[in-house]
Amino acid sequence: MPALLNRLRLLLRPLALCLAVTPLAGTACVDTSPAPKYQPGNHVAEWKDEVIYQVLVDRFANGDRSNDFRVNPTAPARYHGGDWRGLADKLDYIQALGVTTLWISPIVRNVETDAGIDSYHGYWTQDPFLLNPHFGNLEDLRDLTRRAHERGMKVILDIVTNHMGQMFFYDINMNGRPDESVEGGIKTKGDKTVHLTEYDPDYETPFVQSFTSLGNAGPAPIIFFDSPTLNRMPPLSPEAAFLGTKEAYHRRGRVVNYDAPPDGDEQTMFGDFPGGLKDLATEHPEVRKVMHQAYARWIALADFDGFRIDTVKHVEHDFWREWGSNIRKSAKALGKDKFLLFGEAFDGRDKLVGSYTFNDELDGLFDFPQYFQVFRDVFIGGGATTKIEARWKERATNWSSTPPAGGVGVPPVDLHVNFLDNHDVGRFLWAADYYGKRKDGPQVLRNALTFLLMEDGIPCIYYGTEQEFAGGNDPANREDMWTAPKPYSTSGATFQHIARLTKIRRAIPAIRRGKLAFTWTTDHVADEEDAGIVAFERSSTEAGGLSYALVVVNTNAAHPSSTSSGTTNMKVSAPAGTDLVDVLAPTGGATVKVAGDGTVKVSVPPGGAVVLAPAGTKI
Amino acid sequence: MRPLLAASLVATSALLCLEGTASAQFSFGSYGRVNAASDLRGGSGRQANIIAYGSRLDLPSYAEIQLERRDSYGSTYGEGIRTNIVFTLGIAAPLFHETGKFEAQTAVRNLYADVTGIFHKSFTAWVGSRMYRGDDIYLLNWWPLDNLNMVGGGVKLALDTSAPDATTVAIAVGLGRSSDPFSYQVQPSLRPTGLGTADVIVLDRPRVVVSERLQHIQKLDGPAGVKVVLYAEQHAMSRGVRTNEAGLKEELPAENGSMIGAQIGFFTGKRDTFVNLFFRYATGIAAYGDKTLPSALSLDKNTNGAHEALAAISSNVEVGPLGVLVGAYVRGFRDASGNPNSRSTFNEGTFTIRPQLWIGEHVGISGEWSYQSYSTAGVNDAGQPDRAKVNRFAFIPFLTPSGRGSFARPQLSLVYVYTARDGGAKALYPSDDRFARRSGEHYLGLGAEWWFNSSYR
Repeated sequence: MPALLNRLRLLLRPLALCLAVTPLAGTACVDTSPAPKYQPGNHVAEWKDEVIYQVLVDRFANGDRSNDFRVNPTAPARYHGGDWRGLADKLDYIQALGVTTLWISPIVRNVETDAGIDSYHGYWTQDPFLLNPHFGNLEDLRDLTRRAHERGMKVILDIVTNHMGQMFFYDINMNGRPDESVEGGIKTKGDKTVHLTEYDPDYETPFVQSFTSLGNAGPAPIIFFDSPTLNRMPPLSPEAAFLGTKEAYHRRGRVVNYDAPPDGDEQTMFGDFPGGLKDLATEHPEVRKVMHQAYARWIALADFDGFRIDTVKHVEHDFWREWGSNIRKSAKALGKDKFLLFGEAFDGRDKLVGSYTFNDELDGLFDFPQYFQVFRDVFIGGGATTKIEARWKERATNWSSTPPAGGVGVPPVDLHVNFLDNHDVGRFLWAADYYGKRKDGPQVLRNALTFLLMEDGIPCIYYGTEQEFAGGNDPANREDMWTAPKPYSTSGATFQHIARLTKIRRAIPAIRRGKLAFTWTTDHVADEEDAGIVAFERSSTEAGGLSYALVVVNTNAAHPSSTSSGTTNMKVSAPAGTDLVDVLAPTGGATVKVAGDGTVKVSVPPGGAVVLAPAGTKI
Repeated sequence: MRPLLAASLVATSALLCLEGTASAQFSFGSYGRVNAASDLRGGSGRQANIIAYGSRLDLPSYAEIQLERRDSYGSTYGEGIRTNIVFTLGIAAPLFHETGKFEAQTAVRNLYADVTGIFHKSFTAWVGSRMYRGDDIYLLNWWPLDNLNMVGGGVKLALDTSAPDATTVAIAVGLGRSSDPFSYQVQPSLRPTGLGTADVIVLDRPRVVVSERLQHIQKLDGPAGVKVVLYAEQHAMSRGVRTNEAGLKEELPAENGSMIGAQIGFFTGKRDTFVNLFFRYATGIAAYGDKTLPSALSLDKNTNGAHEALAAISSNVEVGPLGVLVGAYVRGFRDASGNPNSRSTFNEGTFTIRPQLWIGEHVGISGEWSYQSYSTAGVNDAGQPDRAKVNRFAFIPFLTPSGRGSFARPQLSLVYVYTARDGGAKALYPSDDRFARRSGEHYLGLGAEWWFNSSYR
């Protein structure tokens, strides 16, 4: 009898569940059962193994039309409909490229629109504790990270701590409303002309001043907008309430001078980011607390593996030391002992960029100096390849060689994040045309990609590079992936080239983790035998046994060049007699033998490259 | 099955003799409810349901006026060919005495004519605009199986001529076209001559709905019986092009949907005692209801993939001075987005029970408990599932001049409702809404409700 009752109970259970409005079965009912308990953890073995793929979520793939609010795909600066679900659905495509880590654009609730431009990029935070509904909901985001992790991929979140969106205006004339221009919009202050718009006035110390016809009237009151329809209002989350007070902001107006002493650095640190993005008083303990709580929470809620941090140079060093330490502790408490913190200091001055790698601040930074000195000047501009070697020497001086306490365990000098372009600069192909007047853009691009993926540090590829997107500066460089001539095609030459390079990286440990030693650079840029040649060795014993690769790139588009000058050939560390095979060529790569004196002469076609590995190396 | 209602008496009628007709009747009917309430915190009482079809206790005021002309062309009234012309005007709040303004909302709820007896004495045809409904769940103010609002026509045939209501087949077809930009859009366009613009209809795609209904009533001993209904709908919309909010031309693909449902009921034939069970499954555009603007479309911009399933129960039992009304349902809806995490994919349901005690013939006391649950497939930004629950408790002393009965009307009542909402229920409201901040809600009000000769019930 009890057995019969049990059977009956089992039969009736689905009905009982239905009646209790819990998960309903099959197509007739909807499964809203609780998501399995979320368990964040460490997914990273070694960050030097990773290849980052940067995605602007709004522009990558639309996987859910239900979040297409105010979408206008024909306007480059408006929302286009991409979302986390669309991105997750394209992981096959991304993985086919061989990249291993996604860097996704910011996820938090933004001021919706300002001056006709939308917050599709995500950098206009309105509430750091809430998600931007344009991209989906938390479960969609978790699905993305979960599905990425299931493939062995990592996910890095882009965050902003320096500023918020256009949340308030400076009531300079104290009339209680925002005015596009005050007193004609221009004021002469000493020898400077100051632009006066209450949305985004020029920098003033100690605060943006109010004034009337009788003269200055003290610090201009700030008035927070109250436009729920545009999400232009103080944060809603109680945890972020302090960000709705004036004390949370520096209130000095926008930066107009980034680097001219004596006040240039001060403006960078305390000024609003252009576009009316209000500068947070990051030295204030409450602001630091909010920024720690908000972003530690997203690690726990969505299982991120690292942060890409925006506008690092606009925030004081002490913030990065304290906040970085707190974030690492929070991540470690979740089992994430390799949580990566790397930042963006959009600056060509290496000393400045490297300064954020000391005192346990950040694990690494984007190598903007390399972007300018190597990819712009040499690959696009045809400059001397000795500049490349100089860049490495410079970094060794300016970046810390001590792993930050609690960090990912790699010296920052080895954790430079390298890139050809990103969402803040024109795409490489555009730059090749615009700056270099190059007619061989795609070939230059592929050659630069070879260097990017074979050098040390972490390579970062901006989405669409593989589809040879060629947009100019923001927002032209933020194309929709679905508008490529063959959307999401994996057959293009550049896609295949990147896929080959990432395959080589996976196969040869030295390229991922080994030391880099230059074996040939030159000042020659014309008809010389070695004009445009840069060659370097990657070697490592880390993965057991010697791993070795010799990379030779010819940045000269005019003629073949070789690693020789007169009677001098390139000396390498590979043993004499070693046969080195070009593994970049998918089949039948050329072979060169290391001579008895330890030299080798490698000839490379114009704008080409070879990646030489000991014969027998399996790719 | 429609309960046998004492209130279905003709309130006002007159037997007329008009030229060309054997006899005629004119009737006036009405449904109405008026509620005035306080939240006991200085504010107005306000509806606190969290589901689509919750307790009716705090519904806003509403009334219908129904005028009906009945003609009979036979020698005796009710014999031969008969026609009805029905006009029902619906009037929704606000009431003039609330705002002091002439601002009530009005709608023509019925405007149709039907004729019976031309081809067959049990054959009825109708044409016009009408509510097209089956049985309701009174406590929830809801018609769970068939509830269409259509402009069109239909036919009905009683198959068993010896018992005209025993087995009937009804088919109807109608058009409905909302004024939303999913269905209809008007834009200014350059005039062909001269200067200026003329308004042009650029999108006009009414929804065509066809419904089929088979009903059988099997009499049991005495007045008791069993009622079985099989019901189906097919919905279709043509493709179209509209200008979206970004100013871009947008292709809207054709829409299709269908619904099947069934009802089984038992009635005693005495004192409105009955129980009805309803089942319904709908797909595509039909899953959204006949007048709802579809949301969360698929990547193909249509409703393919949306579906809805529901089961519901309605009953009334009256014994001596006691009565119990019950209304309950569970409903699952999956939107067309295909996103398993969609927050517009949901389950909802309620169990509502109203016991009643009559003290004498004209006075009574009832209580009501309503449990409501709503959950989506998603989570909120803090990682908590979207799960909301509400319990509502009501105490309702009432007067019924027409005597005992759950459906005896008119009824004048004093209504007190306490609503207890959990954190999930509070989270359903915008943060500035007082309901988002309060776990408990009072509703103390006076109510009146009546119906006679009305199609509302």
